[in-house]
Amino acid sequence: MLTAAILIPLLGALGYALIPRVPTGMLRPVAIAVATVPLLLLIGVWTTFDPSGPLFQAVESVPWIPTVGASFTLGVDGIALPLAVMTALLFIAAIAFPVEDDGRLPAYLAWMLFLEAVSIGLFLALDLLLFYVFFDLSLVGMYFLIARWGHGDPKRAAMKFFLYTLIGSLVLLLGILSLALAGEAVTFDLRTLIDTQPLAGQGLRAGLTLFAVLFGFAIKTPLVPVHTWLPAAHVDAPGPGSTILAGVLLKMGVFGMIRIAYAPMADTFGRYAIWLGGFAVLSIIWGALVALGQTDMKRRIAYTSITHMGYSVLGIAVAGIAGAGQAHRLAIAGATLEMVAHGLITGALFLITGSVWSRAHGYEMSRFGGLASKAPQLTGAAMLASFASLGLPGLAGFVAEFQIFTGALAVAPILAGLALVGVLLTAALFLQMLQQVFLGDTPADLGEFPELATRELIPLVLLLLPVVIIGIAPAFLIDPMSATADALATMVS
Amino acid sequence: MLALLPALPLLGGLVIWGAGNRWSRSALGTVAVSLLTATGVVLGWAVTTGARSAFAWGGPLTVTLAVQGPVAAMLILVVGITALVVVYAAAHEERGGLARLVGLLISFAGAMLLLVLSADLLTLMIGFELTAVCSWGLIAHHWRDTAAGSSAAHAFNATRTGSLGLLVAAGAALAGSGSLQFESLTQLQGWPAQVFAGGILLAAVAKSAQVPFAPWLFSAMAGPTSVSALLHSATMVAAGVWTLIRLAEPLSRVGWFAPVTMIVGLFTALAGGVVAAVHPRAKHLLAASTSAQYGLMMAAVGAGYAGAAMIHLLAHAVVKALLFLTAGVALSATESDRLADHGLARLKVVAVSAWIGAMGLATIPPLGAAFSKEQIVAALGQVSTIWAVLGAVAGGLSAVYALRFAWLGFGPDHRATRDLHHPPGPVENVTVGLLAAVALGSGALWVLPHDISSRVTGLELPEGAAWEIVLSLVLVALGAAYVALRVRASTLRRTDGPAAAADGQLADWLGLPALIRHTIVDPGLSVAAAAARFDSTVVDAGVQAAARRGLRMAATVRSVDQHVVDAGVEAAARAGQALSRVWRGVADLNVDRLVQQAAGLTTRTGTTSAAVDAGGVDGAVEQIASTVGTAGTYLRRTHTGLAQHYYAIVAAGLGVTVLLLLLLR
Repeated sequence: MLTAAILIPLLGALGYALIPRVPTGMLRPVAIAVATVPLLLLIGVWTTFDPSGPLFQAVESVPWIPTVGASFTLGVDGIALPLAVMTALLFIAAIAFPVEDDGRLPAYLAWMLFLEAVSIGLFLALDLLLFYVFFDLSLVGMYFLIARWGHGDPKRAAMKFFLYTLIGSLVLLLGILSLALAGEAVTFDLRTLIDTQPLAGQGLRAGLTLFAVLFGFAIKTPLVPVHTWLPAAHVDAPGPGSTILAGVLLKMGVFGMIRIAYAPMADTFGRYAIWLGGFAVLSIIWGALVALGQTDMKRRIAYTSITHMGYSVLGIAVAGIAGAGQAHRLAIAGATLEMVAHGLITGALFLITGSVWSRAHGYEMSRFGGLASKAPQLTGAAMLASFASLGLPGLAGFVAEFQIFTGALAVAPILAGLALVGVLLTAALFLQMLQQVFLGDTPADLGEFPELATRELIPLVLLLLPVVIIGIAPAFLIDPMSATADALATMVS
Repeated sequence: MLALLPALPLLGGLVIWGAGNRWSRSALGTVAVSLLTATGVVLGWAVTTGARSAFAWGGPLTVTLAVQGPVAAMLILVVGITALVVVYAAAHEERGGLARLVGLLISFAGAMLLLVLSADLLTLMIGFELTAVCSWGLIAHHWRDTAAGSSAAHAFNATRTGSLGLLVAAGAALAGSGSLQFESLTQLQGWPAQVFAGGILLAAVAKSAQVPFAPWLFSAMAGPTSVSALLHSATMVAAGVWTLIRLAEPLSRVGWFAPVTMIVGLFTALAGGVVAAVHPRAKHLLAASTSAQYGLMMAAVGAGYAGAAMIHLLAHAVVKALLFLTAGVALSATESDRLADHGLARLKVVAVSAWIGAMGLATIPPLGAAFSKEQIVAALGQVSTIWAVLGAVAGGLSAVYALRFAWLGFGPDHRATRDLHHPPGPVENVTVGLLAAVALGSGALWVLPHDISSRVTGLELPEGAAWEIVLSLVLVALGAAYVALRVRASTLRRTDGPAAAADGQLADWLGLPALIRHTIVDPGLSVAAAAARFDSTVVDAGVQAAARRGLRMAATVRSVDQHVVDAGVEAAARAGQALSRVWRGVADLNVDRLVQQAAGLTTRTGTTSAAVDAGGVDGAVEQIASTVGTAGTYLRRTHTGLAQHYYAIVAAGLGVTVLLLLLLR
């Protein structure tokens, strides 16, 4: 099942790359159909997932490079599964969303499907080397999406994104190798590594390994001060590209911090977690502050991603400090839920900027005003997504942030207290954006601004409906996440 | 089932907003009343059975609703006031966006019902934030007006600061007792208890518009009058004090809570009283009086008598909703918010009702609000005489502003004749009249057995002393006399001159909004703008410099890859070929050929080495030199050879792998 969830979009990508002669009208529907298969497969896996069962379930394993202990092993826990499902959903919405494709739609869809395969693969991988391969391939896919279908100065932005995150991934590789070589026998198998905790009590080596891994993921997440690739990449990326970048690719960094940094190195991670928490809080406050200072709508949303990923990383750091118990459980569940929530919410916000771009070819907020009268559905979606992003109860973000903060207050009250500033600033900056763009007077020179088309509306609903469902009844997510948090705590202690 | 009580109005309101655009006023009013009647039926069931329900969110998070203690009385108040306000709104407010207004008012009430029903801190916070977002939509009702959006944001941001207090309190509760349920809060000890109390107090102070958050209520005036009528009486502002009443028991265990709450409350009561006493505009006068009255209630909770605060909350809610509705009538009739332009004694029903409401706000017996204020003074007297005196002085001030409102708003018209723009219709008269009747009826509190309010609210009332009642009455009489003197001297309506200018300065919440703007909002925005510049220049510049260096390195690696690695591979391949021929030779056991082969192999190896040396290593060194020199040019065309970079660096990574394997094994 899990292998098929990766292979099918990969084959789809190959198909689009090699067989360009598909009737134009069928291109997108077929791609949507292909992208839907992994979602259904993953939901199928979810129905068999047992929160009280072993940590990793639905495991599939094929030998790959046995001499170094690397294998093609996939499996899910209560953290990876929701993220993989969210990823699959996000890709359907992103593929379905109209984009200015310059007549190169097959190539665009091929890259999208390729990216879907490697993204899902990353969340399912239970082998460090396999994880790393997917991690790097995601850069390639994203590079081409930005460079070829972006606007503004897309090549430069894509280049910056690529090189910056590549440096991160190289440092990460060092860390992964050090981790794989730490035990009795070389192994890249995560289950073994989590079981044996090979670096426990190894002082400097453990510290350096953790640093390498965290540094690599900090760039991808991104944490301040290694975040400046993000706004450039977002602003010049096509709307759906930004949706994937923010919704899926950023999660790889945070997910990696749980999977590769925390789980196999819990002891070392716990020792340095307070520092990670410090950088998370710096990201939360700095991201929100800089977002408030932006006059460009898309840059503003991009910077709020830094704040939200900061919440998530704060949760992981708190889990590391707490080690076990209620605060640990709340923090892990909160951090994971924040990833899911942010993926859906910011994914929707970036689709909305895609709609704004296709109508006005600009993001400068002062150009807009009073869109509520011209495009009430677009306004409604933007308001829902904005309120979700600022953490309004009844929507997904609140559930995540409530858990992160209540968990954090128990073990790191000062960090949590400082991070609250971010919550306040986020509210202020979203309300200001809504007020400037959607309320008030419409500038005379804005021109035509049509309402959302159905093919824009459906992807938005696809993303925002789960935001409401999670906001009202999140138990179906919190239960597996908490169970995994507890299982992890027992395994690593 | 209990979840229906908040869900019906919350969702029903959204449906009315979505579907009601083409409905007539009466249809809107009818649907709204039906919806609230249905809510009332559920309410009746809930109150009589004392229902409780819980909905698991996972982990320690549970949405718990319960009807217990003072909850029932508060629920009835919310539904009752909302029904009257919504009917008034459907008939009175302007046609544009009326369905949205009516729908959101009902949703607002639903959010408040959730807040009142909450039996744990998570649900309380949900209620807090949902009331805040509804009020945002309602304050921004005239959304085309840019100022309305800013005002709504101000109200939201100010009260959200309070919500953060709730979040902190929830965190402390979980850390201290492992639970968010109200019942377990009394177990809190040590720092969690302190932090919990601090968080809840912050939430209450922000929501109930106490100093220093009071000015957000002035911003909230951007909404229609019916919004204010609901927001100041039974929802939103009431939520702050309500929370203190609901959590009075665990809060009272923290030592500093009582004095701090009393100081904040009485300070706001006195300062708000002064602002209301001089403000030239009708709605703002009432808004300042709201802060002042909730200040009295806060002080009562601080003094340890949540029951006194609770009955004052109920009595005040009726009076304040009534007064805002009459102010709305005055606004439409004169198309002015300035009290000096009113003077509408001729609107008989509304004027009489307004005077009744003003008497309540002025705490003049026999109205119920006078009784409840007396309970607050008695509660304060239990702590210390000085607190009781301050409470009585606040009561005196309320006589000044309430009677000033009544005289200017609904006293004799100083203009000879004029036509009214929009005189009130029957619906306005009926709703206002009903509220006035309830306000009058609340006077029964004076004669009913003393413990009836205790029985209704489930909370204790203090034993008052005779001197407190006398002092209160004297101060109220003094306040009334002051207004009468100003009327006699014709200075009540003054709008110019130095005295009016001084009033104007006081009226803007004693300069508090300017202070907040200059110390928090403006610096905050400047810092944000500076941070944005810093982030895109300084932080990024360092990265770009590093990237340039990295690029140069990448280029070097690429040439090494092309010249050294390629050459190496070729050599290896040739060696392999040779080797295979050797093997074949060995297999043939043709020694002669073997020798020949060996000779050939040696020659080949020699040639290959020479080729590697000349073309490979030498070329690579040359290439490195030239690449470093032309890095600037290279930087511009880097996007072309990207895949190669990528592989080059992966190759470098693999090299590092081998190295590590060698070093660490």
